[in-house]
Formats: sequence, structure tokens, C-alpha cells
Amino acid sequence: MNEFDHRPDEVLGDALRDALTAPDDPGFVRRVRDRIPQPIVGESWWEVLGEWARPGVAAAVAVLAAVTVWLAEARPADPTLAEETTVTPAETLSAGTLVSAAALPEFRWQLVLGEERVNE
Amino acid sequence: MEDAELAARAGAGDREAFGALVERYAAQARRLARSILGNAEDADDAAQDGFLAALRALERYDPSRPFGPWLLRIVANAASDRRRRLKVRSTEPIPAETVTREPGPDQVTDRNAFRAALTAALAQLPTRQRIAVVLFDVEGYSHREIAQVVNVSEGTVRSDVFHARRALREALAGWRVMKETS
Repeated sequence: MNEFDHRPDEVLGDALRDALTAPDDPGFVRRVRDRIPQPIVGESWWEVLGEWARPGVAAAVAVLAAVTVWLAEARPADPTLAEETTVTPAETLSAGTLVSAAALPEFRWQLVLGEERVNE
Repeated sequence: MEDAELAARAGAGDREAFGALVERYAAQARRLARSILGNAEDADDAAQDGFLAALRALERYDPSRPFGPWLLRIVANAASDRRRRLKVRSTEPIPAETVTREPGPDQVTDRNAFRAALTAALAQLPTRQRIAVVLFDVEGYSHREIAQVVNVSEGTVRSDVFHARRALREALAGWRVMKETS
């Protein structure tokens, strides 16, 4: 018999069995039997969901990290351009204006203004 | 009575049916846990945790598949979890029980010394290789069944058994040479 053999190695198996077998199987069985709940209760939904919590959190962190990287890469490379596109408070609509306005503000117009400023 | 029938009865609340499954798999579960933990007391605690976890998860057992690998996977996970916790608590590596607790080779019989050498060699193997060689050579599970226990491919299990056997045989050959020359 060699390491490539796909049949169990009886000699090694017997030796390992001898080394690993602990005495008093009946005592162990009694101990486990004593701990079987009465009545037997299965896993609750919370337990099942709890098992998924860790991979779920890990996935959420991975998605968050990916979005952060994507946003960082999507930022304009030229800092002066970024500075110019910043709209000053005077040019923005205040919260009050937004709330009290009868009609929705013209966002398209606002964006055009921004573009014009950028192109100035 | 077949395992699947006992499992179904246990799932329906029959404590005796589950007790019969515990009796049937106690030795295997204890040996598997001991191969992972090295220590008999911790192994028994882990095996017990595994049985009780299996009891709670019986609803998820697929009766068309063999019960043994399903149960032993849960036991292996319980033993691995316990091993991790023990490692966290102690900064020192977990010693192989027989190496540290049994008397020196001068005071023990050849059989005990051989057992100690084998256990020490087993403790040096990666956990997955230990599980693979114990389930294949001791418990007689197939590569496919072991693959279900450790959640890897059959090819990986074959490789694990191969490497584990080679390491164990080398260690034991070294022990025999040392014994003959002493």
C-alpha cells in the first residue's frame, strides 16, 4: 500500500483508531442524551438569520468599499475645475424657497447655469 | 432502523430516536473531534456541541443523502470553532495531548510511545488533512463523502489523504529508527 492507494490503509487506520479512541462511549452517550431538550426544539428563524448575519455584513462592507472607490475615481481630476463648479450660496436655492415654491424649480436651467460658469 | 428514519423521528420530537443516532455515531464523532483538538476533554465537549447543533438543525437535513457526513460536518465545525476559541484564549499553540500528558518513552510501553508519536505527527498536519485521513483510513468514508464534510472537491480530498499519509508514515518511520537505535 502506498500514499496513492485509493483504498483505506488498514494498518494506519488501526493505529489512528487506537490513538484517537477515547474510553467510555456509553458515558458520553448518556451525557449527550441528558442534554437533549424536552421537547426537542428546532432552530428558530432568528438563529437561521443569525448564521447569515456575518456574511451579510461582509458583503455590505464590500459593496460600500466598491462604491467609495468608484466615487473617488469619478471625481474630476483637475482641482481648479472642481473649485469652479462649486456654486456659491447666493446662487443656490434656499430650503425656504424650495418649500414655499408653487412650482418645482427648473433644475435643467440651474444645470445650464453651472455649465456656463464652467465654460466661462 | 436506517439513519434517515431515525433522523425523521428525531425531527418530529422523538428523543429516543436521536439518542440512537448519538449512540451510533458517538465513537466517530469523538475521534474526529479529537483529531482536530488533540485533547480528549475538549474533543468530547465539541462532539457534544456538534450533536446538539445537529439536533437543532435536523429540519435542514436532506434524508436522500447519507446522515454520517452531514453530522460529521457539524461536529468538525464545532471542533474547529472550539479550537479557534482555545487559540484566542491561549497565545501558545495547542499541544498534542499525548505528547505533553503521557510519561516519557522510558516509562511507557512501546504501544503507548507509538500512540504518542502518531498523535504528535497527526497534530502537525493541517486540520483538513487530519479530517481527511481519519475519515478515510479510520472511519471508511469515501472521498466523495469526505468532500461533503470538509466542503472541498473530491480531488482535494484525495490530495489531502495522500499528503497526510505520507507525513504520518515519515514521522512513524523516523520514530521506529529512533527506537531501534536507542
